[in-house]
Parts: sequence; structure tokens; C-alpha cells
Amino acid sequence: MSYKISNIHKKFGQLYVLKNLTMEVNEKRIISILGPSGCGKTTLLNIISGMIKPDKGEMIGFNNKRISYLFQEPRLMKWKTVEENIDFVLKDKMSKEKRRETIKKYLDIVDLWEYRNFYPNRLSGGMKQRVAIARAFAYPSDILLMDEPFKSLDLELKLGLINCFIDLWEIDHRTVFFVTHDVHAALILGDEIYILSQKPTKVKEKIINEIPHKDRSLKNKYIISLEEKLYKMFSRF
Amino acid sequence: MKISTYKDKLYAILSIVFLIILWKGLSIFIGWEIILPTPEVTLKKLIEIMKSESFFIAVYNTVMRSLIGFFIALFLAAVIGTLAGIFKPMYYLFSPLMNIIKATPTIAIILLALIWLGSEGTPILVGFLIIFPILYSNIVEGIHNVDSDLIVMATMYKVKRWRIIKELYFPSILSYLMAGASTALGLNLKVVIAAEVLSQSAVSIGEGMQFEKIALNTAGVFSWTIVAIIISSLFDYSLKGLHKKMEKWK
Repeated sequence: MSYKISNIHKKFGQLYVLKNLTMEVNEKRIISILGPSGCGKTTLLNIISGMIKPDKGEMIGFNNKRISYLFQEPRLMKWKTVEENIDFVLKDKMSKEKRRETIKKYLDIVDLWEYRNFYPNRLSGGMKQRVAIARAFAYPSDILLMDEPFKSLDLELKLGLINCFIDLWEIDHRTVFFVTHDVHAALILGDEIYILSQKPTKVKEKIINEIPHKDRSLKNKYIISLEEKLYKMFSRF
Repeated sequence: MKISTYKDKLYAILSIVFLIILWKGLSIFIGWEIILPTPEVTLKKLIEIMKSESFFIAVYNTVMRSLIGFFIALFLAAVIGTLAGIFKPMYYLFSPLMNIIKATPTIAIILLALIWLGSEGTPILVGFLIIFPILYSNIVEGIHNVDSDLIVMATMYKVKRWRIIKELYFPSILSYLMAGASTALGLNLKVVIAAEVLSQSAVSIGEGMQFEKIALNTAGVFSWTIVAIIISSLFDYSLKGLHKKMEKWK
């Protein structure tokens, strides 16, 4: 099965944000969407999620799909414990036992089951983002949208979170749309990398990353060659 | 943690002891019971008042009046404040009324209430009118300060609307409300007593104060004041306890 974003146009007032944007992606793959700041990446995510409608164009395969999210910030409620925060989005969607089981499964993978009764203000920034990652996977979704969740983190923390994300994804493949302007993160996570242009935004190029996730590192020759290629493209903006 | 609370308490006790010594010194210096009674005379008078039959009735009446006014204000502020917090037109509709209530001199409210309601209801109405705008604006502010990122998160995860209100809006407003409630409860007691003094409400702390004042018994006025202070701190203490229980995450 595949998802198709076909000739999407979106204007806000006089401002053309997306123009003739087309993507076709296979399900259960991680799609990195790279583009300069303010090129309308978040608008694209909002269109995928159905929060806003495109002016023109077609979204094929997205109907009735369940979607979970990872935002730039963890977005946890400070008056709820780690477990309650995840339970908040699961309630009404599954039984109590199933919820408990699901929460345990995902908190175990992100190494936070012992912290299930902690309130967010007692966790570090990285731990909070791990809770948010666990929440996104615990939620029964087909598609996962990520809006720069690793932005403004130091390199070590960023790589730690990316590994944590990949661990979860390897067990539970979802179709991921990962919007970023971080070339490294896009390469390490993405199976397909779309490069967007400046506004009015369209797809400039598409790169396939064939290396399996476990072999990807910033020292891998193939990754380095892709990185160079990407930087060259960016310098042409 | 424990050591610091112990220390805090010690400082509080030291401060009270210092105030009493200062009081004693001043009263000796002035040397005139009508202007400033000594702490011992006040204590003796306080015990005498507490032993009198009508003491508990007076305390009960005053406390009831301030609690009734408080809860009516809290309830109405919760309803109207929520509406005004969510719907902008409602906010503008209520804003002149709130400004008028806030700007009206307390004494004018007391005089008008006396004409309309007599001595029983006056303290309740006056207290209500003073604290209602405080609680109202706390709730409106609480609603305006609900983290919009969290609302977006909850909406995107398709959390049901009533659960968003119950589990997201309500706890965020609670913080603001509790801060306002603690100010309002203490202030309300003071205003109720002032209204009782002026309206001579039957068997109340205010009436007690007024009697002692007419008899030029300053120690009596001091004693009733101490009673009011104690009640006020009890209010504060129980609200703080409640607040702590409700916000474990802090």
C-alpha cells in the first residue's frame, strides 16, 4: 500500500506556501522531509493530518488513517504522571488492561517503566521527550508525524533519542513523516529523503537511503556521500 | 527538607515572641489601657469573651456569613468566568459590570445593602461583591493561560472534548483558582466583619467588636481581633492543605 500526495497547492492570503507538491511513499517507511526554515514543512504536516485542507490537489490513502504525533516539545501535562500522560491519549480507544499492557510495553523499550509514577517536572528534558516518543507509539496509529522533535538538543541527547526512536520503530513499523532541517537526523532516520525548495514549496529532489537502520552512522561512507550530496543541494538554494 | 520546615517554624515563633515583647513595651510606654492594653489584660479579656455563652454563636454566625458569600461567589465566578474565558463577547459583556463592582467604594455597598437587605444579609452581600471580581478574573486568566500546545496535542490525538475539559482545562484553571481563593477567603472575612460592625448584625464578631468599642474597652476590641486573625489563619491553613493535596505534582 502506498500514500500519495498529488499536486498539492496551498495559499495563505497572497502567500503561496505549497505549489504543485507531489510525493508518493510506501507504507511503513520513514520519510524524511528536508527543507529550509519556513518553507512550509509544518503546513505540509497539517495537510497530511487533515487539520487544514489543501486548496488544490489530492491526498490519496490518508482517509480514516489514525495519526500520532511527535512535536518539537514533549507536550506532557505536568499534573499527570508519565503513565497517566500516555493513558490520556489511549482512553476510549482500548480496554483498561490493554492500556496498561501497551503502556508497559512502550515505556519498557524507552527505559522509563520505573519512572511511570513520576511527574514530568522530575524528569530531564531528554526523558520527557522519550515519554512523548513512547506515547506516539503506544497510540494505535497508522501514520506518525514528527515536527522537528530533535531540534534544539545537544548532539549526544539527539543521537540517544534517535536511537530510542529507531528501537521502537524496528519493533513496530509505522509510516513516518519526519519534517526537519537537520541533515544528519534526516539521513540516519529516513529511508526516503525528500528535499523541498524555498517558497512556493515543491519537491526538489528525492533520495533513497538503502542502508539498514542498524548500520547507519555518521561515519558510514555511504551516509557521508549522501550527506555531501545533500549539502550541495542545499547550497544551491 | 524537614530541617528547613523546622527552621521556618522556629523563625515564625521568634517573630511572634518579638511582636508580643514589642506590644508589651509599647503598652508600658504609653501606660494607658484605653489606647493600648497590655498583652496580659488582652489575654484575660480574650478568655473572658471565649467563656461567654454567645462566643461560639458569634463566631459561628460570622464564619457562616463569610463562607456562604464565599461559596456563592466561587460558584458564580466559576460559571460566569468559564463562559467569559471561552467566549470573547461574554468577556466584553461582563467587563463594565466587573469594573463598576471593583470601583464602587465598599462603604457605599454597605450602606445600600443595609437599606435593601437589613443587618442579616448585608455582610454576605458585601463580602460577595468584594471577592466575586477577584475570583472571576482568576478563572478568566486561568482559562486564557491554558497551554494551547497541549490543546493541539489532545485534539490531534482525538481525545474527547469533555475529557479535554475535565483533564486539561480544569487542572490548569485550578492553580489560578486556588491562588485567588486563598486571597478571597481571607479578605472576605475582613469585609464581613466590617459590614457586621456597621450593620450591627445580631451575635457576631463585628457586633462584639462594636460593643467593646462603645464601652471603650480596647482590650475587648483587641480580643475579638485576635479571634478574627485565628479564624483567618485556620481558613488559610485548610486551603493550603487542600491545595497541596490537589497539586501533588508540585
